[in-house]
Amino acid sequence: MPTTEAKIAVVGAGLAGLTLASELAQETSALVIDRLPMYGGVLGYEHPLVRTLARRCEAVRVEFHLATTATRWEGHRVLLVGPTGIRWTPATRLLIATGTRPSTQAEMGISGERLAGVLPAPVAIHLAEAEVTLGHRVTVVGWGNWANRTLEAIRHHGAHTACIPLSDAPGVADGFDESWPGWYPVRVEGRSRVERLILAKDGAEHVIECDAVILAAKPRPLRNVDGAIWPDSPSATFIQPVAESLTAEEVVEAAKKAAAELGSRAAMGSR
Amino acid sequence: MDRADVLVVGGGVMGAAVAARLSQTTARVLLVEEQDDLAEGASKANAGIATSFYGRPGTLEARLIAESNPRWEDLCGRLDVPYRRIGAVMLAVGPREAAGLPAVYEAIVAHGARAELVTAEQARDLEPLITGDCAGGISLPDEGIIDPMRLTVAYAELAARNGATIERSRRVTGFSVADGEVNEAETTGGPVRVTFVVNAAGLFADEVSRMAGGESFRMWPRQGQYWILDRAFGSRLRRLVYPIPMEHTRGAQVVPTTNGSVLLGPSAADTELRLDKATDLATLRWLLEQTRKLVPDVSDAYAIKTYAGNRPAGDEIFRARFDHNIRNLIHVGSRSAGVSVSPALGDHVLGLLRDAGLAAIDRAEAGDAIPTVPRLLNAADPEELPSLDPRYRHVVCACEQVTAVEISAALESRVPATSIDGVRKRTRATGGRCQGSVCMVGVAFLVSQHTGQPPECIRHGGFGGTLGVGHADY
Repeated sequence: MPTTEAKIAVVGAGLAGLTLASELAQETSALVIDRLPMYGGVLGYEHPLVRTLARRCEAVRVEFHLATTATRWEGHRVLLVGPTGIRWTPATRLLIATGTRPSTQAEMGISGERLAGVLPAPVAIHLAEAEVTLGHRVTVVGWGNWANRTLEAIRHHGAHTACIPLSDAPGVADGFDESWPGWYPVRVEGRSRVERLILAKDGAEHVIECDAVILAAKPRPLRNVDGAIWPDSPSATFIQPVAESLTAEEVVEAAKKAAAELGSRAAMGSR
Repeated sequence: MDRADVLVVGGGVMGAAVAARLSQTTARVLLVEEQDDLAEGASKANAGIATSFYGRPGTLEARLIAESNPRWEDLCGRLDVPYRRIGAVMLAVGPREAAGLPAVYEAIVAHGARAELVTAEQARDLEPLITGDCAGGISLPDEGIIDPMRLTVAYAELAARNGATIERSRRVTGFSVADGEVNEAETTGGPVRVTFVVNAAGLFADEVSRMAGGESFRMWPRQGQYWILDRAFGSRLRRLVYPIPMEHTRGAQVVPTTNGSVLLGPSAADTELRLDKATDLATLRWLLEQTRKLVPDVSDAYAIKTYAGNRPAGDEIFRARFDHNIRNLIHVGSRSAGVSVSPALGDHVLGLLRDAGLAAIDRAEAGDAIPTVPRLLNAADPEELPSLDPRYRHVVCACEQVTAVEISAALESRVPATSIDGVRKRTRATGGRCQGSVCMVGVAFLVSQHTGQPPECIRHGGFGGTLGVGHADY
């Protein structure tokens, strides 16, 4: 599997990763790594844009390592763990294109214990799609893609839904039974599972009774390759557009721009 | 009816350590824990420091710490528990603290602990990240870091492998007492006929003593809050960094952990609410300010999570002795040093029991080790792991680099994980940067597979709350 030639390793086979690989592999060799057994990331492999990008990758001989996790980066080699084994794989540059995750309870500044029923949106969506009833009164913190996908996944579960959009733009919490624009969550309370979410606004508090709190706000770049966590990591570049709500086209555009920058930097370096 | 020569009440680090030692003898041991897993109290929410001194010199607690300290490498090797003797540097910040250093130093060496007064420059050699305001310090080379949850679980695992019975979700509800002795314990799992009882109930030790007709004492929670900072910061920090201790607390410390992250804490606030483990922003900010005085690079930009734990404070800060009223009741408990005394605690309690007439003879065939599970995160040569077990190729938790092997081992041990938190305690899965946003479903699936429970019934969080509240019937 490992070769010694100059190679760019892209972590993440979603829109950003596929775009980067298809652009860069025209000049240099590239490999794409994804945790899931299929490319496409959150959009899935059947999305037309994903299929187009994947065909482009194949045309420029991008090497795919799927169902594979990149765990450590040492500036010149990446540790890949996947179906064919565990291998240090040489690479000249690591591109992190693993998308985003919602902020955690601590990152949101929500105090209180770690209670059952408080779940990150990606977990909540998976469970709800497996027909797990997350709660009878579900409060979603956030208004972007995760909030909408959570609502979609629990729509037929019959729960009362509340949204803390953290935004007062009109229409952001459409579809929820209630919405609390302008309020922000400060504390969870409960015994064996969450029973209340406390909101604050201008010194006032409001209590929402609920048995599930879904964290779907303040996206942060998802980074879990040791050695490629902070912006100053050697030979690592992060292509992770962050916004509450992003279209597929916006992600592709950002990745193309990053690829162009990397390409010209590489060209300058080789001169 | 169940019978036990020794009933241990409480599955924290002290109860589990006692059970582990007694399990190597002919005594029949039963440990009951009211929560659904071990290490649910102070044993899971502490800083993970194996200290070389604590409290006042000459006390039983200080003696047990001194006896325990040299044993860590050997013990943790046998019990597959992460431990590193990284040493600490205690810092005087500013001239006034520097003037107090010699007295602090004298108090530490009175314990027999290794310590050395150092200049600011020497302190910086020990830990380059310390503050420029450092005016001298004390090097404490025998301070170590340990995973306290893995330690507790490993003690219980060893006990179970030696034939002790470890029962979780089983609560003692009363005792029958006659002639100054406990004969029987009533529990939620039925009565137990007992010869001796070891009360290791931590914050609830006063209730257990009262139920048994023992001494009246009072326990209260001393809440400690912590920040956890990412491994990316932890990789830069070499040693424990302590402030000059105050009279009743060691203060907020900067603590590297065995998994590479860094803890800031604890705070210390006596409270009345025994089950309240909520954090608050004012205290957390205070912790940042305090620890920044020691290590200026400390920042909440690296924060992964915050948590709080309740130390079992009491009018007596340490107990490992018989009750004054009930002849066959032993109390073991410590406000802050349960982990640090645990290696020697078992021998001490066994000695007390033997002196009181328990025929507990060491069994030559008893084990003193549990199987080692190599972990991807610590593997120096990770490429070799799949030849040991092909499931190493399957990473479940990417942040903490936990594979299906570590998780399956946790689910298949004698005292297995039965919940998401149980897996986290034993493997760190779901405990990393993203706090499970990527892997919690995978962990839930593995727990479901091993326990036969549907995903909505899998427990998560404290006090047995479940992932879901039901199943949508469609």
